[in-house]
Amino acid sequence: MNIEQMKNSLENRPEFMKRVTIWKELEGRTGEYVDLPHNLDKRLKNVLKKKKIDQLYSHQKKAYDYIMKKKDTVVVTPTASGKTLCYNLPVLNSILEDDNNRALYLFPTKALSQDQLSGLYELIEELSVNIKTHTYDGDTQVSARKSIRQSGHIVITNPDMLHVGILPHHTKWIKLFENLKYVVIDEVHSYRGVFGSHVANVIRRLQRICEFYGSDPLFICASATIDNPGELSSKLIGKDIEVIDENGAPAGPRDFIFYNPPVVNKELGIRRSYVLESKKIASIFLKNKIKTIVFTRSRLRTEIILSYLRDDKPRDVNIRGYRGGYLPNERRQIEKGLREGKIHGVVSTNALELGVDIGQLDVSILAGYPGTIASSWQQAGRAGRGQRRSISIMIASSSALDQYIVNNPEYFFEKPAESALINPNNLMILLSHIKCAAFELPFEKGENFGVETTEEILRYLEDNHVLRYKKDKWYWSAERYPAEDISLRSASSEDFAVIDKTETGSSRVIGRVDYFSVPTTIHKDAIYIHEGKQYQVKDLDYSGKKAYVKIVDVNFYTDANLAVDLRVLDKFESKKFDKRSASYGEVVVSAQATMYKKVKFNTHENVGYGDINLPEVEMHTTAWWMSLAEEFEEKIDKKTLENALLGLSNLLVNIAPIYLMCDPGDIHSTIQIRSPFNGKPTIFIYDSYPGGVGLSEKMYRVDHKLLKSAYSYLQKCPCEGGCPACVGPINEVGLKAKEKTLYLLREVLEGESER
Amino acid sequence: MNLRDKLKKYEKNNKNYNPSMKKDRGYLNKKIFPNTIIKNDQGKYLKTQKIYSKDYKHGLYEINNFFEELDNYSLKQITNTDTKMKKEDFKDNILFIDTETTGLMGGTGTVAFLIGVGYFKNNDFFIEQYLMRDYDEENAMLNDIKKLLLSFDIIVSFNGKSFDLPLIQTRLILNRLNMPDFNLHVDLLHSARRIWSFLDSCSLKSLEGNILNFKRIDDIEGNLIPSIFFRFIEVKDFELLKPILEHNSYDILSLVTLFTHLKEIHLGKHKQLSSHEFFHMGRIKEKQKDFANCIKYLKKAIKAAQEKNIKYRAYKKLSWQYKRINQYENAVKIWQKMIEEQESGIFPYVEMAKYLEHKQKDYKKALYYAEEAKKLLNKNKMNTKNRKCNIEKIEHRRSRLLKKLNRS
Repeated sequence: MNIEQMKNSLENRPEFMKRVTIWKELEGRTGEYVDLPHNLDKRLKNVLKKKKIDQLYSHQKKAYDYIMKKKDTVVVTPTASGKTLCYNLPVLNSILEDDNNRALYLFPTKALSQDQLSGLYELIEELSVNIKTHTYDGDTQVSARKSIRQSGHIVITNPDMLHVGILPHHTKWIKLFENLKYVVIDEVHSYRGVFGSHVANVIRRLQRICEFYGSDPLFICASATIDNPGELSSKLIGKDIEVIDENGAPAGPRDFIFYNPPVVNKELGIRRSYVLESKKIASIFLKNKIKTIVFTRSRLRTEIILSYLRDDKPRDVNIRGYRGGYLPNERRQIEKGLREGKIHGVVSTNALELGVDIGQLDVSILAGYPGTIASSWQQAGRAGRGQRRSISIMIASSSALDQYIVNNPEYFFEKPAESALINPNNLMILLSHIKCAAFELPFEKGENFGVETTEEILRYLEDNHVLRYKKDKWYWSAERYPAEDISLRSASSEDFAVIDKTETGSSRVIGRVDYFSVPTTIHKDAIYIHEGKQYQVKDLDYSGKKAYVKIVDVNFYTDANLAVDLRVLDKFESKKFDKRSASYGEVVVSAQATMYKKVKFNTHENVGYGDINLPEVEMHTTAWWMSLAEEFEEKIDKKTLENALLGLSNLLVNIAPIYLMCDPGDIHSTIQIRSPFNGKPTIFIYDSYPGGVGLSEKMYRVDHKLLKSAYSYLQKCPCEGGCPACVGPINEVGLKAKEKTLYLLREVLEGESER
Repeated sequence: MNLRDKLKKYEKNNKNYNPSMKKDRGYLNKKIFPNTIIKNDQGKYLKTQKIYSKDYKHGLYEINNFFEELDNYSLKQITNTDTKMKKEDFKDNILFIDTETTGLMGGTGTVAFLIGVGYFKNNDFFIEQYLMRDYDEENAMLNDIKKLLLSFDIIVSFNGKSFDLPLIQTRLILNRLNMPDFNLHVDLLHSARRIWSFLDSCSLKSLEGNILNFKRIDDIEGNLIPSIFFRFIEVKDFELLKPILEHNSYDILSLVTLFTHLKEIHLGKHKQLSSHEFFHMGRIKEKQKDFANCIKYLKKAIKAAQEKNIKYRAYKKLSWQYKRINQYENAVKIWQKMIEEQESGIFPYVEMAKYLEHKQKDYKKALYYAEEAKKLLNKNKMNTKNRKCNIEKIEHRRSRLLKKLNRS
């Protein structure tokens, strides 16, 4: 059967159609082409022609023109629209023009750097010009490093390596920094939250170093579709940027189907396993040799679905897995197999979502909502290159986010995508990078590191004897190598290391946990899940900041009870409605873990508990809070009101990530039945990272919409009195929580309905 | 809340220094060592100078031993580099260098606050120490260091190839100065490692104690130096720097002695070497393709050997040398001796078997040695991968020998 027939066959399967919440037919589009730029180097033109590229897509040409006019540019396009040419053309052209010119490419992961390298090699080989292109990261051989530093034309690296391995040693990179013409930042949309805030500061440092060497590179960014690519990129590079968001690449028609597995346990709101459903649906296509990709949310699930599919496939159908942790060679081989059509199906984590070239597939199956609209489109876009028809199916899990999306498809299809938030001026993060910057080059009086208050921070560091002020300059004056203490992937420098001691005699750091999450995630006997494997914490060395873990195989996880105390320090903005008021500002959260529960997988049964003896932890961050009008205290008894508040806070934390484009773990909530701050029943939702990354402010701006969505979502939730996907399980929030939460929301929303 | 309070709250762990330390008290104990303040166009810095007469003894040698027979040949032995320089050009053309820094990890934020140098002039040895008393003096100091570097062809350091010189280069670049070229940089760490890698540590301190017969008294720990400097810039008391300056001048004197000692050893003038040293000299000569001397050293190593491990290694290597030059009769003697002494494992048996099989074509005798090797292996019960591999090889040899015997 071909893809068109498959479409009809699906429509004729009632047991499939019953579970479909939307079947959206998206029309195809023809491409917009323009001639190759006339000022493009002849050699480059010839190579393109050899590759049968006689014309460019309109957005590629536009990018080329902007860059030639020396404008910093961000190109926003979906998968498979030829975005790499947008930056490779001007970069290669400029190196052909002058052999001294240099370019720096940044990718969020090493795998993407490798992929980019092989793509560039192909072009350069055809050019038969010696343009030295290398990746430079933790995997680069020590013996090769020196020559890359001295003579690489294009250096491909990641922000972490730039931060810890390149910038603090910039004197070894003189050739690069003196002649740096272009900085390419691909996958800009992945630089959000804490990571993005760090990266923005690394870019500030890069710009300082370039200035020292007298270069002023142009920034070329590329992003998947998000709501605010211009804002994000310009915050990232610290200046205005031109946005190109019209897409000139052709696209075939696409059927986008949302599929919700049936409910099997009504009280707990548990549905049939989306993993099994995904396997079942993928099988239908694979048995007909239709090229299919299945995206999963974890490495473990990739392996599970892969083995299910392999158990149930015709002999001549070739199915492979793909995820981080596979060896580079193996991955290249899989990519090649996919491009050449020798592999029919692939089960992958989001590793294949970003720009790895795997050629043309027909069907993409999203086993579980990938977490954001942007990711969903990226993953769906893996099927259907060129003008061919494609089918994408999203299969929802039981989690709140999935259920919200699958039941509110209009939200998904109407909204372009989430916005990505960063806060480069988060004080913790800023301070860390000012230290790194001072290590790299002394600060001069009057210098501005992205903020007006730079000097105040420098003076503070001077008083703490980290910097020394002498003749209008601040010098690094400590023994430490600051970049080493700062991880771009977390906000606090006080991370704990998680060390695997499963094999006696060997120990390996498998992860890091930020200081604030220690009491709940790596207390003694906690189950720590890493790469789909369960580890149990055998020992926590609190002063040494180390947790020792061993692999275990148990059917439960641990959930710690956290007594949270929150104090408001500063109110930035607030607003008042009939039935509620809302604000955002700065808070101190102190948390004390007291005990933990062992919770059985799937059924969420409580199968045991234990004590936690750890000191209280304190964090300064930002929060959004909402206080209810006094009348509610009169209308509902205290206990019920408390449960309703708890239910509402759970519900908001469950669905807010959709509006904030953040991971569910990025925000936490707590409630106060009579807040010491204003004496009213209050829900707080706070940033999980010290200093906050801007989630609270965003929350404040969209809270009305959020409450409205929460209301309609809760109305539709099929559970009886509350489930983990909405207000929380009944044993936690009480029998009436769902009902009373609905009541609260209705009342609150009535008070602002005219808005 | 103001910014400063916030910063304080965020940074819980900042370690506060003693706040009672007052600034701007001026310099204390200036006269603690002979020094001059040098002024140039870029500013000023401090320089110390001390002259050591030629009969000054540091460890094994006097200063004037350094130039004895120092020429292109001896330098080549030590460094494996041919400078093609004439003997008279060496005089007054060598700069010893060692830096003290604000950190040991490198990177652009690490400063060489003290650059110590040593050189010969008119038969005397001069040690000069260039010191920046605060960050604003670095530029002036580096300008003069650069001039100094320009006037020497040979630089001698200890670990300077990967630490001191790249650091100086970084500092020069940051001060918008470029690095001068030298004809030769002799990093004595590399030369020393070739001979003394058997020591627990090949640090300068370890070499002083174990080889150069020099013992430091009250020497400061190298890893304390950065924090002492940071304290000095706060309180400006030269008393603090005294041990660092002393430490640095000892380093430079030890460079001279170490160089002299290496030269004496390579020229065969220093005769009381240990078996390990003889053995490693043999290895160096082997690498230099000087096989005659290689054999000489290995013989000495065997003679001086007091433990079986080094003797075994020397025997083994020596027999290879003989094989290489086709002196099988000498090689056989060694293997026989090894078998007599019974402490060398299967090696001599296997070698004998190979020799008898391929050179003498005496398969019967060869088989005897193969059988003996096998017996020896079976006695040893340690089940290592190496042993398994050896057993396979012996079995292979045995069966081949048996076949050859049957055929003949």
